[in-house]
Amino acid sequence: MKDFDVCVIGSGAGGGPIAWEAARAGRSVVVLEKGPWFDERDFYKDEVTCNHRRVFRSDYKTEPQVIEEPGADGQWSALPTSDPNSGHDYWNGNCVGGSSNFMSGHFYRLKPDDFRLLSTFGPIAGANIADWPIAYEDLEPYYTRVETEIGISGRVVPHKFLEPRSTPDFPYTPTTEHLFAQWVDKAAAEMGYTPLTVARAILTRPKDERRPCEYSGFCGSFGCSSGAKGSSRVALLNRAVATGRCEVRPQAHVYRIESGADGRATGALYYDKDGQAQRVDARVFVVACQAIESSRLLLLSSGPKHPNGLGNNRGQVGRNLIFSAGATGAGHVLLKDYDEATVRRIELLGPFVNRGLQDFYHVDDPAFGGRAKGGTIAFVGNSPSFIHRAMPERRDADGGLVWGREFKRRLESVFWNNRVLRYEIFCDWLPNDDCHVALDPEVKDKWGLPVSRVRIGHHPHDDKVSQYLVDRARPVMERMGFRNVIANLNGAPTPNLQAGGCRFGADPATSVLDADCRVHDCENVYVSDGSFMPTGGSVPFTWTIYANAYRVAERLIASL
Amino acid sequence: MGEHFLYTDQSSDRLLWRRRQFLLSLLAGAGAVATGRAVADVLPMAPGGGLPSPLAHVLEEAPWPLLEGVQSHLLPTEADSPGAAQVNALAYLQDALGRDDADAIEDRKFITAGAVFLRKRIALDYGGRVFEELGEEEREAALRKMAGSADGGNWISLVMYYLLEALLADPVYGGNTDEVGWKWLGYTAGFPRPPIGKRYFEIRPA
Repeated sequence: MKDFDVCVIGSGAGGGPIAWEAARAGRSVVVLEKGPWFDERDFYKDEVTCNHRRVFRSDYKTEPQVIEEPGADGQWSALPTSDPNSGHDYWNGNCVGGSSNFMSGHFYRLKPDDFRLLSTFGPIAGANIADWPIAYEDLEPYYTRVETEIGISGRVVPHKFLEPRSTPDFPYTPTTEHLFAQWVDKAAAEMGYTPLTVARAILTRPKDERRPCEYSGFCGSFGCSSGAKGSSRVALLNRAVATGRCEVRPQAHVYRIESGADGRATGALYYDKDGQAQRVDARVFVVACQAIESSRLLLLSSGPKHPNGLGNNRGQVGRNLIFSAGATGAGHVLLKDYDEATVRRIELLGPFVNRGLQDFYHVDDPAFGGRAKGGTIAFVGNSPSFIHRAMPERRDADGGLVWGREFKRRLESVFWNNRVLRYEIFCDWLPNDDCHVALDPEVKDKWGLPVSRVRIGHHPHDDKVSQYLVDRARPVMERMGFRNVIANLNGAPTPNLQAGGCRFGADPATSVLDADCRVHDCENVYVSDGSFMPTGGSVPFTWTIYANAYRVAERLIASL
Repeated sequence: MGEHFLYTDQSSDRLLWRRRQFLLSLLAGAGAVATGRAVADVLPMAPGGGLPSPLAHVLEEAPWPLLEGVQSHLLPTEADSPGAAQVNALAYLQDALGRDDADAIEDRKFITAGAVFLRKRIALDYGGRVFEELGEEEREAALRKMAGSADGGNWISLVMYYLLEALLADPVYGGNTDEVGWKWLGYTAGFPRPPIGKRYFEIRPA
């Protein structure tokens, strides 16, 4: 007799649907989550806690990761994130519900061609592009399910790249919108583009115990105080626990999945909050620790039939890690240029901008060099975090320090006179041989375990696509009246958008998981976070992780 | 805020974390002008590396009068806008640096080492006087000299960072007295605001 039918390791968007669906189907479930169990009673609009302290993220000092970056000499340099000179940090939400607690919840589906990027656009030298073993049509029912289960608000706008839908529109009407949304609509229409209402994983009416959005203005990187945001915790785990068949164990750091002589997993070993080693056995194990750490856990889990780590007999675990390529940018308006009523609307905190453009999801432009995959332009409100916004004012344009009265005048200028609109570009992070996860041979975490060693090389094609989209976003910003429209395009990864490392595919020689996201060589272990994705689409992929986890849950339950 | 927001926010934090390279090179410099006490002497660590709070050792040994003077110079009080004194910046800094978390531990070492260095530097340059005794122009010159190196600039940048927290953090943390910083710059607080009992050092599990 096993302790549980299903053991889920990690409780974010990849783990939540498994726990809920299995518990709903009458199965016994344990969820092992490394972080603590916070809830609405812990979530306040407190910039210090949410932006400037290690409360909701793991401590990079005691749990470092080693990051390999390309140096100027063409060699790779490696530094632990605990090193004073490291500029990296890939920890996100470390608590029950994971980083879905702190997302801003801009939700996009992938499009049919995102599932067959290689077939549609052909190979690119130096990139390991692969078609998915499933099609958009296979995932569509689960995307739709997420709309009602997690709670997605939005409005379908017909456009040439609109993905096929089995329902006419979203189950929740869009959130209240900021004046800037109207500006985007006007400018985009004048330029011949189709402005889209971006869907949000934010409730606009109550659902179960969750209240709708309260429009505090503090969303992304803040926990949601009303329960409106569709975190795995509030939307799924709370319900799973309420069935009486799901137990969530917080502060349980799984360090190894044990496997037997037949190669099957037999137990999950973890350290509890007191540092004591514990063990859980189950019929099926599900890994969902966010991409980097999921690969790490498999690599740490060697066994008689898995000498190089669970599912790694062909050296595929950790390969083809991906992020979201793209850029960020911003411009500002001067309040003095607008009448009083308009200024009041510009200054209004709370309503969302929620606008995007996908006119360039495919590019077919001689100026670009022919037909290629493009991406998404999103227009997003500026961070309301004052300390965060004030920090850059310490330095002038040349990097010199500014203080005293001059510093105070700069603060006044930023906060009294200007209002900022940001834009973000999302495009495919091409999988390549220089973006992967391994175990570091030397650096250990506080439990004495080898840490992730992450190489973060990106393909130069990503820069080209990003620049193309930046060049199309800036004129829209300028047409709206924004000044000094800047772009930050540096090829850096998005630590909060991680995928790949355990890609799914039909061929065990080039993939870790089968089409059901089950480890090829280990029939009772699944990976259900973003690790499965061979390519990530040109959108944030959280909705896809949720949808796929629902799909995996169905397969997993059927196998029990 | 978009999905890239978390990333950009973290990278801003990173600007702070990069300053830690300063620590070792700064101490090497301090050694050249004085006896070169190691950080461990200046800031005794609790067994196991944890820090007692409140930090009796720090409160006794860190050059707080100098830091208070530096804060007032960096964020001066004016007739219609608050300065360091109005936002309780020194007490805020002491409290923040006394917390038992990775950033506070690093920052405490760094700020103290930099202040010790500056005190020695000023003693040499200004005939044994201390920062608090200098006139405004002398203070400005001393800090500009400090900012002249990348290390010293990082130190001032970090002191300013905590000044911004004292100015703009929720008053529940002890700065931003009567929301004077928010009122000055027109901040609209988000609700619910953090109560006592739910501050960052209170919600973290032991």
